[in-house]
Amino acid sequence: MAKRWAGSILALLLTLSVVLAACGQSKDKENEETAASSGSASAAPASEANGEKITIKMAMWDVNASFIDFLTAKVKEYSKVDPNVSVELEAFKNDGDYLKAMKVRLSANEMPDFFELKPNFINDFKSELLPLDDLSITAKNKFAKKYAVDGKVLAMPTVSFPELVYYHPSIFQELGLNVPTTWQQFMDVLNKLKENGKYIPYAMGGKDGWPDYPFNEFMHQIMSGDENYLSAIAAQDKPFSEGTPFYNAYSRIAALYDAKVMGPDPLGVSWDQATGLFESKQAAVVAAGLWYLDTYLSKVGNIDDLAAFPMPLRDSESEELKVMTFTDHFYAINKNTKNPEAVKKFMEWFYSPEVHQAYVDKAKLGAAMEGVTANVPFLNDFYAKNKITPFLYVPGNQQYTDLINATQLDWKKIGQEMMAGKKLADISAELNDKWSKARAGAK
Amino acid sequence: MSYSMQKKVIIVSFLALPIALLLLFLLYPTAKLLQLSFTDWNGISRTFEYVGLDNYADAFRMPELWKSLYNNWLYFLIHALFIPLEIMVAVFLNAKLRANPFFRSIVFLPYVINGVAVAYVFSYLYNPINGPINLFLQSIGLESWIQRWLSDPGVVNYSLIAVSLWRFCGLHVILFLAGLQAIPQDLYEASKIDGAGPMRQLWYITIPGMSLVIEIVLFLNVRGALQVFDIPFLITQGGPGNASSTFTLFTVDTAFKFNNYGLASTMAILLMIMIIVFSYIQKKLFQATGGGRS
Repeated sequence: MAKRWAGSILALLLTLSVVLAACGQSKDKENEETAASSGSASAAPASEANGEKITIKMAMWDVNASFIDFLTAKVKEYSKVDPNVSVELEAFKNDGDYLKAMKVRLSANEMPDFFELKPNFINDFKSELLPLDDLSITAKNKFAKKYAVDGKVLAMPTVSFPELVYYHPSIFQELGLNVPTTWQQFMDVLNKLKENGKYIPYAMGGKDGWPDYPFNEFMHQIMSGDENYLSAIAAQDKPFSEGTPFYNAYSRIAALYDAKVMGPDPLGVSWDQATGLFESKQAAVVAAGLWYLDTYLSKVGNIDDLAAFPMPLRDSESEELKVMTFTDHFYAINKNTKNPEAVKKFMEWFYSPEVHQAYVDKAKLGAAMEGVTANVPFLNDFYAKNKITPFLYVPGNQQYTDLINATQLDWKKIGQEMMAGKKLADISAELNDKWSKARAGAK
Repeated sequence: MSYSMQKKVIIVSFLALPIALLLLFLLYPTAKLLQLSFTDWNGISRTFEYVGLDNYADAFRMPELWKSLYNNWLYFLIHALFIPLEIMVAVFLNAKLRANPFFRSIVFLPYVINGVAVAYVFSYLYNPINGPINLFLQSIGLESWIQRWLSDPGVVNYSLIAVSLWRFCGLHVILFLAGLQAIPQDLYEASKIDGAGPMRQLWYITIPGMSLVIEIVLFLNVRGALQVFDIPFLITQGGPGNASSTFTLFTVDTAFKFNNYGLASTMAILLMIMIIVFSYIQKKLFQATGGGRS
C-alpha cells in the first residue's frame, strides 16, 4: 500500500516538475522582458543619446506585392538619415490576416513599434497608441484631426482617394450612352446596356461578399449627408425604419439588384472573376475605389479604354454631388515602444514631403499631407472633370462598434441577401429589432 | 531501490513528459476556454469582466447560430445516409478484382488532396459563367438542371455537402475496408456450408464484424459534421448572407470579425458538449439496434 502511494506521489511530483519547469521558463522570460522593458524605459533616451543601435519594428499590409517591395526598400533608406536606426518591415498580404496577427501580438505583448491601421481599427487599438499631437507632421495632415479619439490624434492617414465608377468609354460610345450625373440616369444607362445584351452592364463579384460595399456600406452614409452618421445611428433605437437614410438608400439598392443588370448570377462570381469580365470588355461598368486602377493597369497593361465617373447619388443636377472619399493606410506608434523618441523621429521622416510624395506616387492614391500632390494623372483628371463634394468616411464611435459586434451586423452580407432575393421590409424589421435589443442590453 | 520501485520510477519518468504535454496543451487551453466563456473579453483589451452565464444565454438567443447548426445537421444527415453505400463500395473493393490497388488508391485520393485545392477546383466547377458542370448539363440537353450552385440559398448547402462527400467518403471506405479485412475468412466458409447467401453473410458476419469500425466512422461523422469549416469558408465564406454558414464558421466570425472572444469561447464549449452528447446517443442507439459487438 505504502509503495503504491509512493509511486503515485512520485508520478505527481515528476509531472508537476515538468509542468513547472516549462511554466517557470516562460515566467523567467517574462520577468526578463519586464526587466528589459522597464530598464529600457528609463534607459531608452540614454541609449538613443549614446548612439546605440536601435531597430524599429514596423508592420503593414498591402495586396500589391510590388508596393510591399517598394516600402521595404524605402524604409531601409532611413538608416542613411539616422545611421543608428534600422527599420525592419513586416508585411502582410491582406488586412484580415494582419488584424488577426496584431491581436495575437497584443496579447503576447509583442506589438511592433510602428504599425498600420485601417480607420475602423483605431477604436479597437486606442489604448495601445501613443498620442501624436506633438509631432510637427500632425498639423500638416489634412485628415488626422477628423479621426482623433477623445480629442487625441492616435493614428495618421497616408492616403485619401475617392470611390469611383469605372467604365469603358468605347462601350458607351458604341451604344451612344452619356455619362450619368443623377441616380435615375445611372439606372437608365445600366438598363440600356442590359437591353442591348452585348455586355454585362455591371460587374458584381457578389460571391466574395465585400464588392457590394459601394452600395450597401456607403450609400446610406452618403445619403444621410452626415459624415458622423454611423455614430449618430448608435444613438437611435430604430435607425432602419421607413423614411430613414438607411431605408431610402436601400430602396434604391433593392431596385438596382432587382433590375438584374449584374449578369446572370452576380452572387456566383468572385471579385476577380467579375473584374476579369470588366477587364476583358465583357462587362461595361464596375464601382470601386481608386485602388482598383493599379490592378486594372497591371492586368490590362494600359488605361486607354478606362474612365471613371462619380457615383451619382443625387436626384437632380442642381444638388451637390457627394462622393465617398476614403482615407486609409493610417500609421500609429505603439505606446509601449522601447524607443518612443526614435520612432517619432522616424514617423516625422516617413510623413516628410519627399518620402510621402514617393509613397503616394507608388500607391497611386491621393496624398494626405498638405503641400503634396500625387502624380496620378487619372486621379487629377477625375478631379478636374468632375465637380464633386468629398464625403469623408468616418468610422463609427465606440458605441456603434459595440452595437455592430453585439448584433453581428455586416452591411455587405445584407447586400448578398438582397441579391439572393431577401425583401427590404424584412431586413429593416430584423435590423431594428436586433439594434433596439442590443441598445437595451448595453444600457 | 527495490526492483518494483525501479520499475515504477522508469514508468513514471517515461509518462511524465507526455502527461505534462497533455496538461499544457490540452487541459490548460480547455480550462482557459471555459474561463473565457464566462467573460466579455473582446480579444484586444488587456482586461475582461466576468459576466456569468450571459454568453450562454446570448448564444441560445441567436437565430443565426441555430440556422448555422441546422446546416451542420444537413452535413451529418447526408453523410450518414451515404454510410451504407460506403460499406457496399468497401465490400466491392474487398473482392478479388483486377487492378484492385489502383481503385483503392483512387477512392482514397480525394482525402489526401489539400483542402484549399479542393475548394478552388469546386469553385471552378460550380462557376456560373463557363463552369464545367453547367456546360456539361447544357451539352447533354439538361439545361433545366442548371442551378445557381453557390448563390441560391436553397441549393448552396447541397453543393457544399457534395464536395464534403467527395472528399471524405474515400476515408470511410478505406476504414471499412480495413474492418472487412480483419474478419476471418473461415467465418464466411462456415456460413457458406450452412447455406447462407451473400445478403445473410453481410448482415450476420460482415456488419457485426465491422461494428467497431462503423462506430468509429459514425463518431467521425458527428465530429466532422459539427466542425465543418474549411469547405464553406473557402468556397462561399458562409454566403450568400449566412446561408451556408456553419457552427464553426459562425464561431470564428464571432471571435475575429465581431471581437467577441467570450461569446465565441462559449460557442466552442457548446460545440464540445454537443459532440460528446451526440456521439454518446449515437453509440447507445447503435448498440441498441444490435450493431454493437455485444
